[in-house]
Amino acid sequence: MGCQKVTENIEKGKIVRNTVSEKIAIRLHLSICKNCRKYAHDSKILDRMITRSFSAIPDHQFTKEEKAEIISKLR
Amino acid sequence: MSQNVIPDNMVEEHGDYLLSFAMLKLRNLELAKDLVQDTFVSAYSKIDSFEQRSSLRTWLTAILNRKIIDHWRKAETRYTDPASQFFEQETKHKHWLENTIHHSDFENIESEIERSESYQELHDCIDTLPSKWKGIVTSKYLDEAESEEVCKEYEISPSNLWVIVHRAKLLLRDCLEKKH
Repeated sequence: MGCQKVTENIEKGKIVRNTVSEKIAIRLHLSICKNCRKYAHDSKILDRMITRSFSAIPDHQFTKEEKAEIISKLR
Repeated sequence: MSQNVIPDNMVEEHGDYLLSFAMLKLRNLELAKDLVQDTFVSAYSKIDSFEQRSSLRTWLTAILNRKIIDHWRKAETRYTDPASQFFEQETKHKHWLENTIHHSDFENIESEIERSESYQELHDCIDTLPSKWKGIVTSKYLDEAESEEVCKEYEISPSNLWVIVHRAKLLLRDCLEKKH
């Protein structure tokens, strides 16, 4: 398995489940490939960051005029 | 019953909530306002089908959510895969995973972002993704939708899903590293 397939399969494992042979191939590959180890590491950090980035709920309001405009469309 | 839903009350009570919900996903005020307005219009036109098994707010939110997904799906009918550059680099004697300008320690980027308490940069990077990918990332991380549901919503196969997530992450990492 090359780097592209290995890192894709790392993401596959987070979504469905890796087969036993995929797991073994990933483990073997990571033991010899620094770039893919970094990918696996960075991928976890991205998971954390993206989840947190969505946790702040913005507070937005329509103006009175905008509300009136929407209401007028419903009549 | 449904006849009791008065437009004024519906917009007053749920408008700002729906707008905030749309902004959380879209981060584009003009577009968010448009889709909320569309939501009220289509909800009111089929108000008789509102069965009150859920609250009005839940029902409106589901309609809005559908419109957001449709927007993302339609916004991009054709695009070249922006991640393809990564995979082409291999032929230029450079490892495709080593595309980063500086070999940043990604943990440092994470702590810088945490310290600044702003995810603006990350959202700017998410904005550079193809629209459909952006939708998929949002459904996956914000709604924590099950993967079967994401696949159904965006009409993709499960293997498409992890390939897209993989490529989106490569682009996001690259984008964040360029900013630091």
